[in-house]
Amino acid sequence: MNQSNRESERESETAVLKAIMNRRKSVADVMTRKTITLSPHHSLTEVVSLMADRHFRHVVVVDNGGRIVGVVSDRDILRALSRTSNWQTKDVSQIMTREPFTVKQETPVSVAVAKIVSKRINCLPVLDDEEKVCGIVTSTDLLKAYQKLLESLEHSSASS
Amino acid sequence: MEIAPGRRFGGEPGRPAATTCVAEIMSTRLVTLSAHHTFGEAVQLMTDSPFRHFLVVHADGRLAGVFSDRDVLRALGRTPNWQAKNVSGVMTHKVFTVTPETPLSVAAAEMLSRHINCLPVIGNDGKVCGIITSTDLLRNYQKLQACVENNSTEKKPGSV
Repeated sequence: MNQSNRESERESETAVLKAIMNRRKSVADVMTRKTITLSPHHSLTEVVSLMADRHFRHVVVVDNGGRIVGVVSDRDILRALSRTSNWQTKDVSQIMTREPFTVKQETPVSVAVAKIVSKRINCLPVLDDEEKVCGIVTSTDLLKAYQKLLESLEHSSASS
Repeated sequence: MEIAPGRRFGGEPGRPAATTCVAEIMSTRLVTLSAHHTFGEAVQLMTDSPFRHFLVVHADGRLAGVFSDRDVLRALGRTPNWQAKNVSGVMTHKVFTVTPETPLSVAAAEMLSRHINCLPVIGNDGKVCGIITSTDLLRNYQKLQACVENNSTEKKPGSV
């Protein structure tokens, strides 16, 4: 294959990519709006039993005014369990990640993915203009978006 | 517990292929466990390392199971005598696996539908040759997204 052919192939591939990816631009397009919230004084035992049988791994911790104070992930729990012998007596505020990284609904998806990968985290709470939690974007939400993207790409390359 | 010397498969620098197969992004740097390691040893290893998934392999290199942070969480939530368990008593025995030739869209779809984050990669000889995790997939998603964004701003300014 000569150079110019390869160039034009790249350009058409890029155009297809752009068209497909423009459908999902910001966090609002991929986030989960239903979030589980807890208050800081819930016990660690309650969080463990909440997560053990379900398919979510992150709980947002909010104060009485609905403002975010932290996030508890399954990793936080794991760490607490392996380090402390008296974990049954701990509460959420003692093990949560304080001041977590957050995003806005308008944040580009690529920025959210970059944050999750580089900070080695799996979730980003989404805040509205009043700084209240309006959703959460997790690595699973992003993986779903990626999977749909891959499928559309395969369709377009099969049909062209 | 052993860490195999690893290498990563990469696409062309700065231009990841849009549709690829597992071999191109899988990680061949594996941390493996044996079924007889204690639960405590495995949790300690997990806390000390950046990985959340450990492949449990037989002496001949065939896969015995996967030991993940979710397995730990489940064990802690359900069994009172978890200290006495060993890896084989906690790990996932029936593991869904892929081959190096599996398309990424299939790998992502399987992870999502099965609610798992890692797929062991089994070579033609029936032995474990790598692992692909949701983080590997997200890293590729991010590159893809960034690549398109760069192309649209740098290559063709002003035109669509």
